[in-house]
Amino acid sequence: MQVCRPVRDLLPGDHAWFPFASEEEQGHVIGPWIEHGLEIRDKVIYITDAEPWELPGLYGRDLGFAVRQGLLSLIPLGEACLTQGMFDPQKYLATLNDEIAKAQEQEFRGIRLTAENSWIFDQPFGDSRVDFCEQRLDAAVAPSVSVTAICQTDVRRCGGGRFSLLDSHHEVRVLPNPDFDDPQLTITRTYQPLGLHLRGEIDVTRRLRFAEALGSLPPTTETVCLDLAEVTFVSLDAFGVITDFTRKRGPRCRVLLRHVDPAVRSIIDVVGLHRLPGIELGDG
Amino acid sequence: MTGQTQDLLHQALLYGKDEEYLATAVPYLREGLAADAMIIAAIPNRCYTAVRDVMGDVMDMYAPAEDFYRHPVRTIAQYLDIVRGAQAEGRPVRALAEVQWGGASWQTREWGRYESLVNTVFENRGVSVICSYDRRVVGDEVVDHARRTHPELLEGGMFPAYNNAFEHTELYNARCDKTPLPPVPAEAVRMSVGSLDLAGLRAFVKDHATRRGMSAAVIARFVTAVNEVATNAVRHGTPPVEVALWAGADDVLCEVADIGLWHPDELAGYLPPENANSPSFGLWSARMLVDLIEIRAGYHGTRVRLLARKED
Repeated sequence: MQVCRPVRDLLPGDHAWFPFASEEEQGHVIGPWIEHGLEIRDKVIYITDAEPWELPGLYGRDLGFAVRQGLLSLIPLGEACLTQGMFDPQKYLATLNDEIAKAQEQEFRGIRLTAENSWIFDQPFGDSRVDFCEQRLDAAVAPSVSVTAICQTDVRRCGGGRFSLLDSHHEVRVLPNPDFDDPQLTITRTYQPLGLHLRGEIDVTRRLRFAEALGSLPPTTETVCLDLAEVTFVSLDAFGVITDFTRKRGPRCRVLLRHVDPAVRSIIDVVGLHRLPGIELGDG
Repeated sequence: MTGQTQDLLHQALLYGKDEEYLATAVPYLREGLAADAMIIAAIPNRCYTAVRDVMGDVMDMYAPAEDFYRHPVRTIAQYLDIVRGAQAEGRPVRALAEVQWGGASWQTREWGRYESLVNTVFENRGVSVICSYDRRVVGDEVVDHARRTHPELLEGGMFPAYNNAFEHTELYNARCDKTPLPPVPAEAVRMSVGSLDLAGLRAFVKDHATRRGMSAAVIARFVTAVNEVATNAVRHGTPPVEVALWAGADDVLCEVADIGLWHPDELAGYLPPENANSPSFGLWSARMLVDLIEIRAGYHGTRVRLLARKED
Protein backbone atom coordinates (compact mmCIF):
# COMPACT_ATOMS: atom_id res chain seq x y z
CA MET A 1 0.00 0.00 0.00
CA GLN A 2 1.24 3.46 -0.88
CA VAL A 3 2.04 5.87 1.95
CA CYS A 4 1.10 9.53 1.52
CA ARG A 5 3.58 11.87 3.14
CA PRO A 6 4.08 15.64 3.21
CA VAL A 7 7.18 16.56 1.26
CA ARG A 8 8.92 17.81 4.41
CA ASP A 9 8.71 14.30 5.88
CA LEU A 10 10.48 12.47 3.05
CA LEU A 11 13.43 10.43 4.25
CA PRO A 12 16.54 8.97 2.61
CA GLY A 13 15.57 5.76 0.91
CA ASP A 14 12.20 7.16 -0.19
CA HIS A 15 11.55 6.74 -3.90
CA ALA A 16 8.51 8.97 -4.01
CA TRP A 17 6.00 9.88 -6.65
CA PHE A 18 4.48 13.29 -7.08
CA PRO A 19 1.59 13.48 -9.54
CA PHE A 20 0.58 17.09 -10.14
CA ALA A 21 -2.01 18.84 -12.27
CA SER A 22 -0.82 22.43 -12.32
CA GLU A 23 2.35 24.45 -12.17
CA GLU A 24 1.10 25.96 -8.92
CA GLU A 25 0.77 22.53 -7.35
CA GLN A 26 4.18 21.51 -8.66
CA GLY A 27 5.75 24.64 -7.21
CA HIS A 28 4.00 24.12 -3.87
CA VAL A 29 5.80 20.79 -3.40
CA ILE A 30 9.05 20.93 -5.34
CA GLY A 31 10.00 24.50 -4.40
CA PRO A 32 10.07 23.95 -0.61
CA TRP A 33 11.80 20.58 -1.05
CA ILE A 34 14.66 22.08 -3.05
CA GLU A 35 14.87 25.12 -0.83
CA HIS A 36 15.04 23.08 2.35
CA GLY A 37 17.62 20.76 0.79
CA LEU A 38 19.88 23.69 -0.03
CA GLU A 39 19.35 25.15 3.41
CA ILE A 40 20.64 22.05 5.15
CA ARG A 41 23.37 21.66 2.52
CA ASP A 42 22.05 18.50 0.88
CA LYS A 43 23.04 17.89 -2.71
CA VAL A 44 20.11 18.61 -5.06
CA ILE A 45 20.19 17.02 -8.51
CA TYR A 46 17.45 18.05 -10.91
CA ILE A 47 17.19 16.67 -14.46
CA THR A 48 15.69 19.64 -16.27
CA ASP A 49 16.24 22.13 -19.05
CA ALA A 50 15.20 24.94 -16.72
CA GLU A 51 17.58 27.66 -15.61
CA PRO A 52 18.27 28.06 -11.87
CA TRP A 53 15.79 30.93 -11.64
CA GLU A 54 13.02 28.98 -13.41
CA LEU A 55 12.59 26.08 -10.99
CA PRO A 56 9.05 25.19 -9.81
CA GLY A 57 8.04 27.22 -6.81
CA LEU A 58 11.29 29.19 -6.92
CA TYR A 59 10.67 31.27 -10.01
CA GLY A 60 12.83 34.38 -9.99
CA ARG A 61 14.93 33.22 -7.06
CA ASP A 62 18.66 33.56 -7.54
CA LEU A 63 20.04 30.08 -6.94
CA GLY A 64 23.31 30.82 -8.76
CA PHE A 65 25.22 30.63 -5.48
CA ALA A 66 23.97 27.08 -4.93
CA VAL A 67 25.09 26.07 -8.42
CA ARG A 68 28.51 27.66 -7.88
CA GLN A 69 28.93 25.92 -4.54
CA GLY A 70 28.04 22.56 -6.13
CA LEU A 71 24.93 22.19 -3.96
CA LEU A 72 22.55 22.34 -6.93
CA SER A 73 23.11 20.50 -10.20
CA LEU A 74 20.70 21.16 -13.01
CA ILE A 75 21.40 18.63 -15.74
CA PRO A 76 19.80 19.33 -19.11
CA LEU A 77 17.73 16.52 -20.62
CA GLY A 78 20.00 16.21 -23.67
CA GLU A 79 22.99 15.62 -21.49
CA ALA A 80 21.22 13.41 -18.97
CA CYS A 81 19.01 11.07 -20.94
CA LEU A 82 18.60 11.75 -24.66
CA THR A 83 20.24 9.90 -27.50
CA GLN A 84 19.45 11.37 -30.90
CA GLY A 85 16.51 13.20 -29.36
CA MET A 86 14.97 10.06 -27.89
CA PHE A 87 14.76 9.07 -24.25
CA ASP A 88 17.53 6.61 -23.49
CA PRO A 89 16.89 4.73 -20.24
CA GLN A 90 20.44 3.38 -19.96
CA LYS A 91 21.90 6.85 -20.32
CA TYR A 92 19.41 8.23 -17.79
CA LEU A 93 20.28 5.62 -15.17
CA ALA A 94 23.99 6.01 -15.82
CA THR A 95 23.71 9.79 -15.35
CA LEU A 96 21.89 9.38 -12.08
CA ASN A 97 24.34 6.80 -10.81
CA ASP A 98 27.28 9.05 -11.75
CA GLU A 99 25.75 12.06 -10.03
CA ILE A 100 24.95 10.07 -6.89
CA ALA A 101 28.46 8.63 -6.80
CA LYS A 102 30.00 12.11 -7.20
CA ALA A 103 27.86 13.51 -4.42
CA GLN A 104 28.77 10.65 -2.14
CA GLU A 105 32.45 11.22 -2.87
CA GLN A 106 31.94 14.85 -1.91
CA GLU A 107 30.49 13.55 1.36
CA PHE A 108 27.10 15.17 1.15
CA ARG A 109 24.99 13.95 4.02
CA GLY A 110 21.84 13.91 1.90
CA ILE A 111 21.24 13.69 -1.85
CA ARG A 112 17.95 14.85 -3.38
CA LEU A 113 17.13 13.65 -6.83
CA THR A 114 14.23 14.77 -8.99
CA ALA A 115 13.01 14.76 -12.58
CA GLU A 116 9.74 15.16 -14.41
CA ASN A 117 8.92 12.08 -16.46
CA SER A 118 5.55 12.61 -18.14
CA TRP A 119 7.07 13.78 -21.46
CA ILE A 120 8.61 10.33 -21.93
CA PHE A 121 5.15 8.81 -22.42
CA ASP A 122 4.80 10.82 -25.62
CA GLN A 123 7.74 8.96 -27.15
CA PRO A 124 7.68 5.53 -28.82
CA PHE A 125 7.91 2.76 -26.22
CA GLY A 126 7.58 5.45 -23.56
CA ASP A 127 5.57 3.26 -21.20
CA SER A 128 7.99 0.36 -21.19
CA ARG A 129 11.00 2.68 -20.88
CA VAL A 130 9.51 4.42 -17.87
CA ASP A 131 8.69 1.02 -16.40
CA PHE A 132 12.30 -0.11 -16.93
CA CYS A 133 13.78 3.05 -15.39
CA GLU A 134 11.49 3.14 -12.38
CA GLN A 135 12.28 -0.47 -11.46
CA ARG A 136 16.00 0.18 -11.48
CA LEU A 137 15.76 3.54 -9.79
CA ASP A 138 13.76 1.96 -6.99
CA ALA A 139 16.43 -0.69 -6.56
CA ALA A 140 19.07 2.05 -6.31
CA VAL A 141 17.25 4.44 -3.99
CA ALA A 142 15.34 2.19 -1.59
CA PRO A 143 18.38 0.73 0.22
CA SER A 144 20.21 4.06 0.33
CA VAL A 145 20.75 5.96 3.56
CA SER A 146 21.41 9.24 1.78
CA VAL A 147 19.36 9.42 -1.43
CA THR A 148 15.78 10.69 -1.64
CA ALA A 149 14.09 10.76 -5.05
CA ILE A 150 10.93 12.42 -6.28
CA CYS A 151 9.59 11.38 -9.68
CA GLN A 152 7.31 14.12 -10.90
CA THR A 153 4.43 13.39 -13.26
CA ASP A 154 2.15 15.89 -14.92
CA VAL A 155 -1.09 13.90 -14.76
CA ARG A 156 -2.59 15.99 -17.55
CA ARG A 157 -0.22 14.13 -19.88
CA CYS A 158 -0.59 10.77 -18.24
CA GLY A 159 -3.81 8.95 -19.01
CA GLY A 160 -4.92 5.37 -19.23
CA GLY A 161 -2.93 2.78 -17.33
CA ARG A 162 0.10 5.03 -16.95
CA PHE A 163 -1.17 6.44 -13.70
CA SER A 164 -1.44 2.99 -12.14
CA LEU A 165 1.91 1.97 -13.66
CA LEU A 166 3.66 4.83 -11.91
CA ASP A 167 1.63 4.34 -8.78
CA SER A 168 2.79 0.73 -8.56
CA HIS A 169 6.46 1.67 -8.74
CA HIS A 170 6.45 4.04 -5.76
CA GLU A 171 5.83 3.25 -2.14
CA VAL A 172 5.46 6.87 -1.18
CA ARG A 173 3.24 9.53 -2.68
CA VAL A 174 4.20 13.11 -1.96
CA LEU A 175 1.76 15.67 -0.58
CA PRO A 176 2.30 19.38 -0.10
CA ASN A 177 3.46 20.52 3.31
CA PRO A 178 0.59 21.49 5.61
CA ASP A 179 -0.41 25.15 5.65
CA PHE A 180 -0.96 24.75 9.37
CA ASP A 181 0.01 21.97 11.69
CA ASP A 182 -0.26 21.58 15.44
CA PRO A 183 -1.25 18.69 17.69
CA GLN A 184 -4.92 19.57 17.33
CA LEU A 185 -5.35 20.46 13.67
CA THR A 186 -3.51 19.95 10.41
CA ILE A 187 -4.57 21.85 7.30
CA THR A 188 -3.13 20.81 3.94
CA ARG A 189 -3.92 22.29 0.56
CA THR A 190 -5.25 19.85 -2.05
CA TYR A 191 -5.27 20.36 -5.79
CA GLN A 192 -7.25 17.43 -7.12
CA PRO A 193 -9.88 18.41 -6.16
CA LEU A 194 -9.06 21.95 -5.20
CA GLY A 195 -9.50 22.57 -1.51
CA LEU A 196 -8.18 21.55 1.86
CA HIS A 197 -7.51 18.31 3.65
CA LEU A 198 -8.11 18.66 7.36
CA ARG A 199 -7.13 16.41 10.22
CA GLY A 200 -8.07 16.71 13.88
CA GLU A 201 -10.48 19.14 15.53
CA ILE A 202 -11.63 22.50 14.18
CA ASP A 203 -12.62 24.73 17.06
CA VAL A 204 -12.68 28.39 17.96
CA THR A 205 -8.96 28.53 18.75
CA ARG A 206 -8.10 27.38 15.22
CA ARG A 207 -10.75 29.53 13.60
CA LEU A 208 -8.34 32.10 12.29
CA ARG A 209 -5.99 29.50 10.78
CA PHE A 210 -8.89 27.74 9.14
CA ALA A 211 -10.26 31.00 7.75
CA GLU A 212 -6.79 31.95 6.45
CA ALA A 213 -6.38 28.59 4.72
CA LEU A 214 -9.77 28.98 3.03
CA GLY A 215 -8.97 32.56 2.11
CA SER A 216 -5.69 31.51 0.48
CA LEU A 217 -7.48 29.40 -2.12
CA PRO A 218 -7.58 30.98 -5.58
CA PRO A 219 -10.34 33.61 -5.70
CA THR A 220 -11.76 32.23 -8.94
CA THR A 221 -12.47 28.82 -7.42
CA GLU A 222 -16.17 28.04 -7.57
CA THR A 223 -16.12 24.66 -5.83
CA VAL A 224 -13.89 24.17 -2.83
CA CYS A 225 -13.61 20.63 -1.46
CA LEU A 226 -12.93 20.11 2.22
CA ASP A 227 -11.85 16.57 2.97
CA LEU A 228 -13.05 15.89 6.51
CA ALA A 229 -12.25 12.16 6.64
CA GLU A 230 -9.86 12.70 9.54
CA VAL A 231 -11.82 15.43 11.31
CA THR A 232 -13.47 14.31 14.54
CA PHE A 233 -14.91 17.60 15.76
CA VAL A 234 -16.21 20.75 14.08
CA SER A 235 -17.37 23.57 16.32
CA LEU A 236 -20.52 25.47 15.42
CA ASP A 237 -18.31 28.50 14.98
CA ALA A 238 -16.37 26.71 12.22
CA PHE A 239 -19.52 26.29 10.17
CA GLY A 240 -19.87 30.06 10.39
CA VAL A 241 -16.33 30.41 9.01
CA ILE A 242 -17.31 28.34 5.97
CA THR A 243 -20.58 30.12 5.29
CA ASP A 244 -18.84 33.46 5.74
CA PHE A 245 -16.26 32.34 3.18
CA THR A 246 -18.93 31.36 0.61
CA ARG A 247 -20.83 34.60 1.23
CA LYS A 248 -17.72 36.68 0.56
CA ARG A 249 -16.81 34.68 -2.53
CA GLY A 250 -20.22 35.24 -4.07
CA PRO A 251 -23.25 33.20 -5.07
CA ARG A 252 -21.39 30.83 -7.37
CA CYS A 253 -19.03 29.65 -4.66
CA ARG A 254 -19.84 26.40 -2.87
CA VAL A 255 -17.96 24.33 -0.36
CA LEU A 256 -18.27 20.60 -0.75
CA LEU A 257 -17.71 18.65 2.47
CA ARG A 258 -16.33 15.22 1.64
CA HIS A 259 -15.94 12.08 3.74
CA VAL A 260 -17.76 13.64 6.67
CA ASP A 261 -17.44 11.68 9.91
CA PRO A 262 -20.86 10.46 11.17
CA ALA A 263 -20.43 12.47 14.39
CA VAL A 264 -19.96 15.68 12.40
CA ARG A 265 -22.72 14.71 9.99
CA SER A 266 -25.21 14.37 12.83
CA ILE A 267 -24.56 18.00 13.81
CA ILE A 268 -25.24 19.17 10.25
CA ASP A 269 -28.43 17.11 10.11
CA VAL A 270 -29.78 18.67 13.30
CA VAL A 271 -29.04 22.32 12.48
CA GLY A 272 -30.12 21.80 8.87
CA LEU A 273 -28.04 22.13 5.74
CA HIS A 274 -30.32 24.95 4.56
CA ARG A 275 -28.98 27.07 7.42
CA LEU A 276 -25.46 26.56 6.09
CA PRO A 277 -25.73 28.39 2.75
CA GLY A 278 -23.04 27.48 0.27
CA ILE A 279 -22.21 24.20 2.00
CA GLU A 280 -22.97 20.91 0.27
CA LEU A 281 -22.30 17.33 1.24
CA GLY A 282 -20.86 14.83 -1.18
CA ASP A 283 -18.14 12.32 -1.67
CA GLY A 284 -18.11 12.53 -5.43
CA MET B 1 -51.19 36.94 0.35
CA THR B 2 -52.02 40.36 -1.01
CA GLY B 3 -55.07 41.81 0.65
CA GLN B 4 -55.08 39.19 3.39
CA THR B 5 -54.18 39.88 6.97
CA GLN B 6 -50.74 38.79 8.10
CA ASP B 7 -51.68 38.93 11.79
CA LEU B 8 -51.15 35.82 13.83
CA LEU B 9 -54.25 34.06 15.09
CA HIS B 10 -53.22 31.83 17.99
CA GLN B 11 -56.13 30.26 19.83
CA ALA B 12 -56.40 27.54 22.45
CA LEU B 13 -59.31 25.14 22.13
CA LEU B 14 -60.21 23.40 25.39
CA TYR B 15 -62.43 20.45 24.56
CA GLY B 16 -63.78 17.39 26.36
CA LYS B 17 -65.45 15.48 23.53
CA ASP B 18 -64.53 14.81 19.91
CA GLU B 19 -67.75 16.53 18.79
CA GLU B 20 -66.56 19.74 20.44
CA TYR B 21 -63.28 19.41 18.63
CA LEU B 22 -64.95 18.96 15.26
CA ALA B 23 -67.41 21.79 15.88
CA THR B 24 -64.45 24.18 15.92
CA ALA B 25 -61.96 22.49 13.62
CA VAL B 26 -64.23 21.85 10.64
CA PRO B 27 -65.49 25.42 10.03
CA TYR B 28 -61.98 26.71 10.75
CA LEU B 29 -60.52 24.52 8.01
CA ARG B 30 -63.33 25.32 5.60
CA GLU B 31 -62.50 29.01 5.97
CA GLY B 32 -58.89 28.16 5.29
CA LEU B 33 -59.73 26.21 2.15
CA ALA B 34 -61.82 29.11 0.90
CA ALA B 35 -58.81 31.40 1.37
CA ASP B 36 -56.48 28.93 -0.40
CA ALA B 37 -54.51 28.53 2.79
CA MET B 38 -51.94 25.82 3.29
CA ILE B 39 -53.67 23.42 5.66
CA ILE B 40 -51.38 21.67 8.07
CA ALA B 41 -51.98 19.57 11.14
CA ALA B 42 -49.86 18.12 13.88
CA ILE B 43 -52.53 16.43 15.95
CA PRO B 44 -53.19 12.98 17.39
CA ASN B 45 -54.28 10.39 14.88
CA ARG B 46 -57.71 10.22 16.53
CA CYS B 47 -58.36 13.90 15.75
CA TYR B 48 -56.95 13.60 12.26
CA THR B 49 -59.20 10.63 11.45
CA ALA B 50 -62.23 12.46 12.80
CA VAL B 51 -61.51 15.52 10.64
CA ARG B 52 -60.80 13.42 7.58
CA ASP B 53 -64.05 11.48 8.01
CA VAL B 54 -65.97 14.75 7.83
CA MET B 55 -63.97 16.75 5.28
CA GLY B 56 -61.99 14.22 3.29
CA ASP B 57 -58.28 14.51 2.67
CA VAL B 58 -57.87 18.30 2.75
CA MET B 59 -54.52 18.54 4.53
CA ASP B 60 -51.46 19.79 2.69
CA MET B 61 -49.38 18.26 5.45
CA TYR B 62 -50.13 16.02 8.40
CA ALA B 63 -47.69 14.83 11.07
CA PRO B 64 -48.78 12.66 13.99
CA ALA B 65 -48.50 14.77 17.13
CA GLU B 66 -46.38 12.22 18.96
CA ASP B 67 -43.74 12.50 16.21
CA PHE B 68 -43.92 16.24 15.67
CA TYR B 69 -43.76 17.33 19.30
CA ARG B 70 -40.59 15.72 20.52
CA HIS B 71 -38.33 18.72 21.02
CA PRO B 72 -39.71 22.27 21.36
CA VAL B 73 -36.83 24.11 19.66
CA ARG B 74 -36.71 21.66 16.76
CA THR B 75 -40.49 21.84 16.40
CA ILE B 76 -40.40 25.63 16.11
CA ALA B 77 -37.69 25.39 13.47
CA GLN B 78 -39.67 22.79 11.56
CA TYR B 79 -42.82 24.90 11.75
CA LEU B 80 -40.99 27.99 10.62
CA ASP B 81 -39.57 26.18 7.61
CA ILE B 82 -43.08 25.10 6.63
CA VAL B 83 -44.41 28.63 7.06
CA ARG B 84 -41.55 30.09 5.02
CA GLY B 85 -42.38 27.59 2.28
CA ALA B 86 -46.00 28.72 2.30
CA GLN B 87 -44.93 32.38 2.26
CA ALA B 88 -42.78 31.66 -0.77
CA GLU B 89 -45.89 30.32 -2.49
CA GLY B 90 -47.85 33.37 -1.36
CA ARG B 91 -50.25 31.31 0.74
CA PRO B 92 -51.41 31.81 4.33
CA VAL B 93 -51.08 28.92 6.76
CA ARG B 94 -53.92 27.44 8.74
CA ALA B 95 -52.82 24.91 11.31
CA LEU B 96 -54.33 22.51 13.80
CA ALA B 97 -51.98 21.61 16.60
CA GLU B 98 -52.08 19.51 19.74
CA VAL B 99 -48.83 19.55 21.68
CA GLN B 100 -47.79 16.39 23.51
CA TRP B 101 -46.79 17.83 26.83
CA GLY B 102 -44.68 15.03 28.30
CA GLY B 103 -44.45 13.96 31.90
CA ALA B 104 -41.47 15.70 33.47
CA SER B 105 -41.93 19.17 34.96
CA TRP B 106 -39.21 20.61 32.73
CA GLN B 107 -41.00 19.19 29.69
CA THR B 108 -44.23 20.90 30.69
CA ARG B 109 -42.35 24.15 31.24
CA GLU B 110 -40.55 23.96 27.89
CA TRP B 111 -43.68 23.12 25.93
CA GLY B 112 -45.37 26.04 27.64
CA ARG B 113 -42.46 28.19 26.55
CA TYR B 114 -42.90 26.81 23.06
CA GLU B 115 -46.58 27.82 23.01
CA SER B 116 -45.60 31.28 24.18
CA LEU B 117 -42.85 31.61 21.56
CA VAL B 118 -45.38 30.89 18.81
CA ASN B 119 -46.78 34.37 19.50
CA THR B 120 -43.45 35.93 18.58
CA VAL B 121 -42.04 33.61 15.93
CA PHE B 122 -45.14 33.57 13.73
CA GLU B 123 -46.18 37.17 14.16
CA ASN B 124 -46.97 38.85 10.83
CA ARG B 125 -46.44 35.71 8.80
CA GLY B 126 -50.02 34.99 7.80
CA VAL B 127 -50.41 32.12 10.25
CA SER B 128 -53.56 30.94 12.01
CA VAL B 129 -53.26 28.13 14.50
CA ILE B 130 -55.68 26.46 16.84
CA CYS B 131 -53.93 24.53 19.60
CA SER B 132 -56.26 21.97 21.05
CA TYR B 133 -56.19 20.72 24.65
CA ASP B 134 -58.08 17.54 25.42
CA ARG B 135 -59.33 17.99 28.97
CA ARG B 136 -59.61 14.21 29.28
CA VAL B 137 -55.84 13.97 28.90
CA VAL B 138 -54.21 17.16 30.19
CA GLY B 139 -54.33 18.33 33.79
CA ASP B 140 -54.97 21.73 35.33
CA GLU B 141 -51.30 22.71 35.16
CA VAL B 142 -51.25 22.34 31.38
CA VAL B 143 -54.56 24.18 31.03
CA ASP B 144 -53.04 26.97 33.10
CA HIS B 145 -50.11 27.14 30.67
CA ALA B 146 -52.60 27.21 27.78
CA ARG B 147 -54.38 30.20 29.28
CA ARG B 148 -51.14 32.06 29.82
CA THR B 149 -49.81 31.45 26.32
CA HIS B 150 -52.79 31.98 24.02
CA PRO B 151 -54.25 35.41 23.39
CA GLU B 152 -57.65 33.85 22.71
CA LEU B 153 -59.51 30.88 24.18
CA LEU B 154 -62.17 28.69 22.59
CA GLU B 155 -64.13 26.95 25.29
CA GLY B 156 -67.24 25.68 23.62
CA GLY B 157 -68.83 29.02 22.73
CA MET B 158 -69.32 30.41 19.23
CA PHE B 159 -66.67 33.07 19.71
CA PRO B 160 -63.27 33.19 21.36
CA ALA B 161 -63.46 34.05 25.04
CA TYR B 162 -61.63 37.00 26.50
CA ASN B 163 -58.46 35.69 28.11
CA ASN B 164 -57.17 37.87 30.89
CA ALA B 165 -54.55 35.28 31.91
CA PHE B 166 -52.52 35.78 28.73
CA GLU B 167 -48.89 36.83 29.19
CA HIS B 168 -46.64 38.23 26.50
CA THR B 169 -43.73 36.06 25.45
CA GLU B 170 -41.07 38.07 27.27
CA LEU B 171 -42.95 37.94 30.55
CA TYR B 172 -43.82 34.27 30.25
CA ASN B 173 -40.26 33.42 29.30
CA ALA B 174 -38.86 35.40 32.21
CA ARG B 175 -41.15 33.55 34.60
CA CYS B 176 -39.94 30.20 33.19
CA ASP B 177 -36.38 31.25 33.82
CA LYS B 178 -37.09 32.07 37.44
CA THR B 179 -37.75 28.43 38.27
CA PRO B 180 -34.81 27.41 40.47
CA LEU B 181 -32.54 24.65 39.20
CA PRO B 182 -31.97 21.65 41.45
CA PRO B 183 -28.50 21.79 42.98
CA VAL B 184 -25.59 20.03 41.31
CA PRO B 185 -25.32 16.65 43.05
CA ALA B 186 -22.26 15.85 45.13
CA GLU B 187 -21.29 12.95 42.86
CA ALA B 188 -20.88 15.24 39.83
CA VAL B 189 -17.43 15.27 38.22
CA ARG B 190 -15.95 18.73 37.79
CA MET B 191 -13.45 20.53 35.64
CA SER B 192 -12.18 24.10 35.52
CA VAL B 193 -11.87 25.82 32.18
CA GLY B 194 -9.34 28.60 31.82
CA SER B 195 -8.99 29.28 28.13
CA LEU B 196 -10.69 28.86 24.78
CA ASP B 197 -8.61 25.76 24.10
CA LEU B 198 -11.36 23.31 24.98
CA ALA B 199 -9.89 20.06 23.62
CA GLY B 200 -9.43 18.84 27.20
CA LEU B 201 -13.00 19.70 28.11
CA ARG B 202 -14.34 17.85 25.07
CA ALA B 203 -12.36 14.76 26.01
CA PHE B 204 -13.61 15.07 29.62
CA VAL B 205 -17.26 15.33 28.56
CA LYS B 206 -16.97 12.53 26.03
CA ASP B 207 -15.27 10.22 28.50
CA HIS B 208 -17.68 10.79 31.38
CA ALA B 209 -20.80 10.75 29.20
CA THR B 210 -19.66 7.43 27.73
CA ARG B 211 -19.08 5.99 31.20
CA ARG B 212 -22.57 7.07 32.19
CA GLY B 213 -24.14 5.16 29.32
CA MET B 214 -24.76 7.85 26.72
CA SER B 215 -24.86 6.45 23.18
CA ALA B 216 -22.18 7.46 20.68
CA ALA B 217 -24.67 9.24 18.41
CA VAL B 218 -25.90 11.45 21.25
CA ILE B 219 -22.42 12.12 22.63
CA ALA B 220 -21.26 13.90 19.47
CA ARG B 221 -24.16 16.36 19.73
CA PHE B 222 -23.80 16.73 23.50
CA VAL B 223 -20.07 17.48 23.26
CA THR B 224 -20.67 20.06 20.52
CA ALA B 225 -23.34 21.80 22.60
CA VAL B 226 -21.21 21.83 25.77
CA ASN B 227 -18.28 23.16 23.74
CA GLU B 228 -20.44 26.01 22.45
CA VAL B 229 -21.75 26.95 25.89
CA ALA B 230 -18.27 26.76 27.44
CA THR B 231 -16.86 28.89 24.61
CA ASN B 232 -19.47 31.56 25.41
CA ALA B 233 -18.66 31.36 29.12
CA VAL B 234 -14.92 31.84 28.52
CA ARG B 235 -15.45 34.57 25.93
CA HIS B 236 -18.18 36.58 27.61
CA GLY B 237 -18.35 35.37 31.19
CA THR B 238 -16.20 36.10 34.21
CA PRO B 239 -13.71 33.50 35.40
CA PRO B 240 -13.51 31.05 37.02
CA VAL B 241 -15.51 28.89 34.64
CA GLU B 242 -16.47 25.56 36.18
CA VAL B 243 -18.00 22.57 34.41
CA ALA B 244 -19.86 19.84 36.27
CA LEU B 245 -21.24 16.65 34.77
CA TRP B 246 -23.52 14.01 36.26
CA ALA B 247 -26.20 11.57 35.18
CA GLY B 248 -29.78 10.73 36.00
CA ALA B 249 -31.49 7.47 35.20
CA ASP B 250 -32.16 8.32 31.55
CA ASP B 251 -30.15 11.45 30.93
CA VAL B 252 -26.79 13.14 31.32
CA LEU B 253 -26.53 16.70 32.60
CA CYS B 254 -23.73 19.21 32.34
CA GLU B 255 -23.57 22.63 33.92
CA VAL B 256 -21.24 25.42 32.85
CA ALA B 257 -21.00 28.14 35.48
CA ASP B 258 -19.09 31.40 35.78
CA ILE B 259 -19.42 34.34 38.12
CA GLY B 260 -20.45 36.89 35.50
CA LEU B 261 -23.97 38.15 35.03
CA TRP B 262 -25.20 37.28 31.59
CA HIS B 263 -28.18 39.19 30.28
CA PRO B 264 -29.18 37.21 27.23
CA ASP B 265 -31.99 38.38 25.03
CA GLU B 266 -34.90 36.43 26.55
CA LEU B 267 -35.60 34.79 23.23
CA ALA B 268 -31.99 34.24 22.20
CA GLY B 269 -31.43 30.73 21.13
CA TYR B 270 -35.08 29.85 20.62
CA LEU B 271 -35.82 31.63 17.38
CA PRO B 272 -34.35 29.86 14.36
CA PRO B 273 -31.58 31.98 12.84
CA GLU B 274 -31.40 32.72 9.15
CA ASN B 275 -28.01 31.02 8.80
CA ALA B 276 -24.74 30.18 10.51
CA ASN B 277 -23.60 33.81 10.45
CA SER B 278 -26.54 35.03 12.51
CA PRO B 279 -25.49 36.10 16.03
CA SER B 280 -27.73 33.57 17.79
CA PHE B 281 -26.73 30.59 15.65
CA GLY B 282 -24.42 29.10 18.29
CA LEU B 283 -26.86 29.13 21.19
CA TRP B 284 -29.78 28.12 19.00
CA SER B 285 -27.80 25.19 17.57
CA ALA B 286 -26.78 24.13 21.05
CA ARG B 287 -30.44 24.09 22.03
CA MET B 288 -31.20 22.00 18.95
CA LEU B 289 -28.44 19.51 19.77
CA VAL B 290 -29.53 18.60 23.30
CA ASP B 291 -32.93 18.07 24.88
CA LEU B 292 -32.83 21.06 27.17
CA ILE B 293 -30.70 24.09 27.95
CA GLU B 294 -31.64 26.20 30.94
CA ILE B 295 -29.98 29.49 31.77
CA ARG B 296 -30.04 31.08 35.19
CA ALA B 297 -28.28 34.38 35.63
CA GLY B 298 -28.21 36.36 38.85
CA TYR B 299 -26.17 37.88 41.61
CA HIS B 300 -24.18 34.68 42.15
CA GLY B 301 -23.22 34.29 38.51
CA THR B 302 -24.50 32.56 35.41
CA ARG B 303 -25.28 28.88 35.15
CA VAL B 304 -26.13 27.14 31.91
CA ARG B 305 -27.36 23.61 32.32
CA LEU B 306 -27.61 21.13 29.46
CA LEU B 307 -29.60 17.92 29.55
CA ALA B 308 -29.57 15.13 26.97
CA ARG B 309 -31.20 11.75 27.05
CA LYS B 310 -28.73 8.90 26.96
CA GLU B 311 -30.40 7.36 23.92
CA ASP B 312 -32.00 9.02 20.90
